[in-house]
Amino acid sequence: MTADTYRIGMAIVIEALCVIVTLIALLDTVADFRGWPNVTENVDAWTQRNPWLARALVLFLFVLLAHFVLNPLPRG
Amino acid sequence: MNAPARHRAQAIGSHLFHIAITVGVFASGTAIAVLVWRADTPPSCVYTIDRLPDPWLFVIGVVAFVIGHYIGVVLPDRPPKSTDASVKAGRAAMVLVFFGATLVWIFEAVGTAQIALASGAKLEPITYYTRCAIYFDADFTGGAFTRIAIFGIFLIAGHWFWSDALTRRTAKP
Repeated sequence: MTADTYRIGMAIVIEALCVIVTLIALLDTVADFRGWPNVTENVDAWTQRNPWLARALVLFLFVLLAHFVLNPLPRG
Repeated sequence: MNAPARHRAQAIGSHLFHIAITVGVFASGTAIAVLVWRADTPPSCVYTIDRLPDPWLFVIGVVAFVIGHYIGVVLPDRPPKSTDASVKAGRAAMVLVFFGATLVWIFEAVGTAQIALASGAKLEPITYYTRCAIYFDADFTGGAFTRIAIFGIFLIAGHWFWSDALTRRTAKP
């Protein structure tokens, strides 16, 4: 029996992404209150220290995008 | 308004902006998740028109990535000095990001294995839900949310990982 799990699966994916983005936004808020470098500035410094890792991450993101949007959804 | 008062007003405005963004992201994301969970969608990911592959969605990602980079060129960051606490917070953030990524990959592993739930339903890989969401979005809004999401993600990626400072350093003789 294969019942579709779109609603619960999609809800979990959305909530997981939401929690990750909320934690990043929360950290940015703490940095703002304490006068620390914000998330963008920290990531920028990391990118300068690790240029090849940053390029690999960008490549991974574009491969992921291509995987999602340049392939069809198989008819079930 | 004198300079100290202006700086204080700017700081309060910045604090309120950050709090609003944090609360807004969590509230809207959770609301969308609940709406999707309770939505009256078709019983399975059925469709009559093939929405994918769509090369224009990939082009949107490339364009947003380049724009994200040039935002950093036009509006460069002027970071305050790092402190021990801020360095520790930065490391904690990286741990959180990798922890979140680990949870996502665990879900992907469970979905790929198509493990059945107690109800008999099977979880699918993230790819399935993502493509299915693109199809539903194309039907309901003409694909607006898909384009906005791709544009936003790659705008941030271009701003963060194609660093303006990195370009300047590479161009140095």
